[in-house]
Amino acid sequence: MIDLNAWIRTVPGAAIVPLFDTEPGSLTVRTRDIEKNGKTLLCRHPLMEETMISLVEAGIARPDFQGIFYIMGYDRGDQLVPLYVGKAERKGVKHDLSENLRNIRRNRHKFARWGDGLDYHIGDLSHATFRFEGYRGPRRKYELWAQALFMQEDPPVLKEPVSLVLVPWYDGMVGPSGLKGSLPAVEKEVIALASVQHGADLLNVDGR
Amino acid sequence: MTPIPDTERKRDLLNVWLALHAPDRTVHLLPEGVSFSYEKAMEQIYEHVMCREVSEEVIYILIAATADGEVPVYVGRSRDVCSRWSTHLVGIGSGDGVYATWQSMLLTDSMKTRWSLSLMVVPGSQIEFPPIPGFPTTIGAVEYQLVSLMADAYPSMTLNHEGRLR
Repeated sequence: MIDLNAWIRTVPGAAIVPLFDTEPGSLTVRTRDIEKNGKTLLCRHPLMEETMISLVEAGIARPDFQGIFYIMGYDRGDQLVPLYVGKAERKGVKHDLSENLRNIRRNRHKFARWGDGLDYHIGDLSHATFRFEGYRGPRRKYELWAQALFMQEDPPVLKEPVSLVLVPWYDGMVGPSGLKGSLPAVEKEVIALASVQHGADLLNVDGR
Repeated sequence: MTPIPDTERKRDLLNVWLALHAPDRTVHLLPEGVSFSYEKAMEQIYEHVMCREVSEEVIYILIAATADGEVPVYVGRSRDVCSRWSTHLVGIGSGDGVYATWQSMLLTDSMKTRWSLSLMVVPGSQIEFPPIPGFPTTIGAVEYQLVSLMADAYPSMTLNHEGRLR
């Protein structure tokens, strides 16, 4: 079977960064309180933010940029264990440039799907972890994320460091199949492989 | 339209997988150019063996016989494909919500079928090989390989919105 890790390690332009900002020498994730709405938010790692901004800004300057492909996982040196596979496409439902990527430098609410708002990964994971008031309750999906990532939730302590693989996807790039593919097609290829090679850890529900 | 240079290779992979899994697993729902009929399509499904296979999850593919050949337009999976397709066919007839796209692609303004429509149903235990060489054969992985291939092989024809480049 095709080795997903071999592809991840060789895909051009990929960056592997820590996802969360943690206290020095510990696995406790830093948080910040938003007084105006009573939210407590998990903090993204500054390197993750810098890298995402850099990749998105460089990408949207090129016409062949399709978006950002990402894998949240455990980087154990010899292999990356995928926990969640997703994408943030360049084109939005209503606009040529998705609201998820637009103005990325100041767009912490959406931030290429890793934003602080509800319906975005960090916001929803924070909601499931700290159970603050929202226009709806915490999503079950992110309660499962919290159970998978944290050994305790308040304060949030990771079971092990969590990394994010960020891949800017351009026309003509090759997926694990060895075929040139669009961003949505490659996302499905990766989930199909991860569902079998790392099925016990993968948090994607579909494609298993 | 973003160019996808491996379109032909992906069409070939789809054609091979579909052709070798199709025998005895395909039901013709409606011919081309006839008025859409939920009842007639469901009659065809009920006559097929698939309704007796509810104990096992199946992968199903809706296929349109176009002038350019047979094109897979939607893939899904279910333990109760008859119930699932009852829902899909009601949706195609009404055009409500997500089915607006299904209706406009599959039917003319006068609600006639644009193409002959068939449904292929493959139980998980009968998947013989993966659509993409070197990939897994679990039912979920095969479903996603088909969605992936269809997204690039027939980008304007796929009804699986999750595999479609915007």
